[in-house]
Amino acid sequence: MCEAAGDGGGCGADMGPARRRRGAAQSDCFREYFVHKFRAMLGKSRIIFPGEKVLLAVSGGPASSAMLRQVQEGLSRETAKKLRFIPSVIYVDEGAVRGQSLAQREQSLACMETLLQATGFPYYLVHLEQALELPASILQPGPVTPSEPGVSYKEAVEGFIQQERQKGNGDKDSGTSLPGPVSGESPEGPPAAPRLPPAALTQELLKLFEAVQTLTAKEELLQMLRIHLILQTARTKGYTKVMTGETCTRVAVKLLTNLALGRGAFLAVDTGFKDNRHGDVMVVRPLREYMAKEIAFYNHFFNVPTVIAPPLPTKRRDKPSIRHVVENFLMELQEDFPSTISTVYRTGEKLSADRTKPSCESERCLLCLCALDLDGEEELALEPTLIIDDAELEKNGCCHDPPAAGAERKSAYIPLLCYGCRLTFKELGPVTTLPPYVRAEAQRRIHSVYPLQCRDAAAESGGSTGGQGAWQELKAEGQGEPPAPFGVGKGAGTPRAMGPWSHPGPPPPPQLSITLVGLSFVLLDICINKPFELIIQKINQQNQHHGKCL
Amino acid sequence: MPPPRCQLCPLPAALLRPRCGTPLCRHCFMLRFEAELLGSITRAPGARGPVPAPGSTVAVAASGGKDSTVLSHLLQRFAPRLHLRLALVSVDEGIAGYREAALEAVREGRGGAPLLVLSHRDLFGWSVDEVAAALGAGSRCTFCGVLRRQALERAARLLGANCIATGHNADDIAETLLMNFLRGDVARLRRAAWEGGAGPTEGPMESPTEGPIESPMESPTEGPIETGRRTKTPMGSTKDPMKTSKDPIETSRSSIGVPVGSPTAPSPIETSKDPMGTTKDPMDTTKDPMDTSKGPMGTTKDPMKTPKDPMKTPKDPTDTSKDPIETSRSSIGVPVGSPTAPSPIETSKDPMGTTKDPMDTSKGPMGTTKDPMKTPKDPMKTPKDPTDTSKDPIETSRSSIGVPVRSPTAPSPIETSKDPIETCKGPMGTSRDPMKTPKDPMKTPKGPTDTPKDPMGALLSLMGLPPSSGPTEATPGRAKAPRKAPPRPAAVPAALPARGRPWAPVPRCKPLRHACEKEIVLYAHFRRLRYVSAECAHAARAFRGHARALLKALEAARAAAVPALGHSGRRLRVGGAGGGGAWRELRACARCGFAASRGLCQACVLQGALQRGRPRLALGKRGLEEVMGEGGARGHGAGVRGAVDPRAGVEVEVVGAGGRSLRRRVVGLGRARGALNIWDF
Repeated sequence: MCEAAGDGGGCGADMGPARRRRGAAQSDCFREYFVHKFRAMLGKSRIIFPGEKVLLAVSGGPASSAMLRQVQEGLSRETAKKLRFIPSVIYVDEGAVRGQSLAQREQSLACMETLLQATGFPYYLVHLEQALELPASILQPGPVTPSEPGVSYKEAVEGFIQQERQKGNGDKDSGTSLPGPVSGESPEGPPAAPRLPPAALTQELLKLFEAVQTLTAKEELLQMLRIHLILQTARTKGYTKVMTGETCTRVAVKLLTNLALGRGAFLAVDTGFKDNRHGDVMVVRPLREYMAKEIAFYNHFFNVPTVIAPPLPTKRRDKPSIRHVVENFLMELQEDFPSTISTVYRTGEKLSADRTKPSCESERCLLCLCALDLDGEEELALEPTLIIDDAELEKNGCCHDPPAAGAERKSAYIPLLCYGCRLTFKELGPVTTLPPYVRAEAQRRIHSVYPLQCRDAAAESGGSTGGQGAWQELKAEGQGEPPAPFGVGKGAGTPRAMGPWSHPGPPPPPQLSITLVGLSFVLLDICINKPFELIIQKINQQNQHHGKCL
Repeated sequence: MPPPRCQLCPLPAALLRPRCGTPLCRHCFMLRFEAELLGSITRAPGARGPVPAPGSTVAVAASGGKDSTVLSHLLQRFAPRLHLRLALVSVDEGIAGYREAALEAVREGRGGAPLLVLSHRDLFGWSVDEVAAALGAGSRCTFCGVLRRQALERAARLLGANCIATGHNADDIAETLLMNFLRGDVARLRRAAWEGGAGPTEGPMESPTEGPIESPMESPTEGPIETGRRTKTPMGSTKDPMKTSKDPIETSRSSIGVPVGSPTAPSPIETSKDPMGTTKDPMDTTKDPMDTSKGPMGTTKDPMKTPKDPMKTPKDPTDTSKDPIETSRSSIGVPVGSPTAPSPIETSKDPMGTTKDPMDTSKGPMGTTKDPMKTPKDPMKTPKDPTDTSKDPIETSRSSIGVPVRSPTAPSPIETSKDPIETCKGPMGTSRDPMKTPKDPMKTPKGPTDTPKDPMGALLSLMGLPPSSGPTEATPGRAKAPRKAPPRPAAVPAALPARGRPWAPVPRCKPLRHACEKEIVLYAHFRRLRYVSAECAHAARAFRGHARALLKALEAARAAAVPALGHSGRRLRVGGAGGGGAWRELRACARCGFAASRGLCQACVLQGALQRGRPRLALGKRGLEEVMGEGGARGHGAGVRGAVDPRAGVEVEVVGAGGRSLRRRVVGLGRARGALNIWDF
């Protein structure tokens, strides 16, 4: 039975065939249901004000295309039910990092352009390469929009309706013309000849991506650049809201992915309906309640055109990204337990976003702009996030060097980042390949924070960290239980490079008091470069021979 | 390609640490690993969660698997340095082909620590295999896990442990997070997140609030007497006990300042006393003044007081401060007046309560080693008295040790304090003395001499000097054998919970929480530790398997995903109910008295559902209503089968430090702290 209305309403027609056969009446019900969900989502949240300029982030995929169609339909309705915001569309061309050739890129751009032109909204075509030219200010939250706190949503709506009426009386055309076909306005050059960015920029972008060590980090980086680009466009063109087309399925995947990335503290911000960490521009996810399957049906029934972008190129020995792993897992589990995705989604709903707003700059993550989530964390828990910088060891303590020298070291970035971003950042390439705006902002932050940082470092260098302290104690007491196979001198036990920014002095030169037995083993092992396991076994045997037990 | 060099020494590295990719040679790795564990149980900077204080007792949950093997190995190495007292606790779930080998491995590889083995079958009446049969297809892992945790909790309490150390590693924690997220278990997500922060603080008080319920539970030990008690309980004495018990504790603390002593014995004893007490009533009145005076006085006064009442005099001295000598004297004196003697003290409590009095008096001695005194109460006991007296020297010696600590807290002050209270309360008053514990314990220590009554007791070293509180044994003969919970070593907070509060759960710590599974395996390999790695026959049905599969895939994609998941779990901000508070206040389970967030603890719900033959019910939301509704909170319903009569005691296996293995019958398992002194075996 068709129960599109959810309360026993609907048309009562047989539902199964409706979905498959595209019968006129039945698909109307589906459409009603679909549209209602979209409008209800926007309506109950009350954050899109009438007359507000909204930027729709469209990738050409099924979800964002469906979202575009929804907005289109919403705006073309009769006045009472009409959506009242002013949409524009932005498309980010990622062909360069997705391994498309120039011709392919041209082609998909043209394809996308005709598609966007057909919608009649103003649109922007942006290339990912332009991310390299972003200003550093993109990494700072903008000032909160003044309009929101001032006026209540209800007042704003009523005021807008009044205006519309007056306008309608005076000049009928101008009232409705806002969303009208104004494709010529497209700020990104003439639609006829989409220009690709200069090859040099493309090369630089490719270099950035190739230096990234893992697919996981690549995806994270791409996501970051994309959102920054969209954000920049929104800011410069005066948009206060950005809509992205993340479906329920995608949200569930992202929840688990971000959990595994160590971003547990920010799940609500990363996946919630609204994301206002950027201050002036709010990211809204109106498709959160649609399953990917519903979207697919919708697109299929109503002939919503989509453009498929190829995935990030992978090499054979690349490990799958965390997102791939999670996605595959969820899809498989969904088959056995059909409620898996919605369960994960609903679990995510119960997370709250409080305390993710940083109170000051020094508490804000450089990349994701969330409040740092590292206070009060155990030292051992932070160990995976630290970078051991060899260059740093050779210098005599960063604190006495001019910070300018240290700022370009990778480890200098670590204190600026949250847990999840640290892990990702570790897998990015050398600092010199990073986008200029990230480097510029980091430089600024490092300089401004420098005095404070030095103090921290001094304090930290005083007491060695817990595990190491205990360890040294262990060694000092000579209780390292089995007699050390090789007499390891004191120097070897000195903690090295645990905190990236705490290195008060040069590490003492290794003083090895190598016993005869130890020496013989060292020589033996160095001569024969067998796999580790063999060496270990050998040492064990030897030790047993000597009556020692490792 | 030559191996990279160890980060800490010039040797070639033997491994890259999965967590951070640091190359380490084998020796450095082991040192590092040990240091990290040491750091995690000794408040390293930034460390969170409960940490065993020096001098405390730690129960190590040992399954025989790699994690617990490594954990117990490391803890045993560090125990002397940290002044910890260790005991291993194993739970035999009754899974054929799985647990036997593991238990064997635990027995062999336990090092120097004593081992306590509980079994689901004995404790709850159901082995997991039986549960599986009853369940058909379904998640038996829920049953197994819930019951196992309950078993651990009881064992830890029995041993008087301050802390349970489990071998959860970083992978387990990450896996649990994923599983909870996949299942949408918001409550557990929230709890895990808060455990990452500040764990629950251990309530100062422990005893379950509901006197009536408890009393049946505990009373079981004393068969004949119990019946008497129960009959009396209806009389109304039950309520009072609770209150009285509280008061005494507080008073004792306030006056003495020693929180330690009053551990916990539940009221049941008192209830049993009631019958006795009736006779005493006349006595009581006289006593009351005495007691009151005592209360303020604290222990020292006792001798003074004793003189006041002809009856009491003998006892009082014993109560507190007097010391072995006095006690001995009193004990001697007691035999004569004994029947009356006990009564005075008790009598003060109530006409009603008089029954208790004997008990209390007995307790008093117990605490201070006065046992002889108590015995006098019953004509029956009088015979004992001599024995007691004879014991006294021994006890006195013990007591002398214990006295400084305990005696202040010693029951007598408590009792005295109660009395006034009780009197006001009325007839009811007597019911519980925290102190009551056990005559039995007293006897056991004393030795063989007393023991004739309790064969069991003799065997059990229940009374173990330091940890005294357990009413563990039931001496059938000695129904009244009141038990007193001797105070534990000073480190242990006294345990009487406020009314309506549960026994504070024993804090759990996870010293290996930051260690990756791989590292643990490597460490065990390097140290040549023997462990069992068998897959549970039922594990294939567990939902956890999916989470595990996901975790393994994630770990392969990025090794740091495991610690990252742990970090995420600690940082989750779960909104909703109690957003700020997070901890729902724990109540006492109406059946077992342990902490529960609802009327019954989950273990009791599962048990009840099993007995009813509808085990699946317990897994749903209606489980609680179903179980509570039918039998009521107290009733033990008409069990289809497997209902464990708590009065019967539970058989446990004890493997002493010396390797001697015994099967002991323990009554009132887990009710009082430190009832079983496993270290003296």
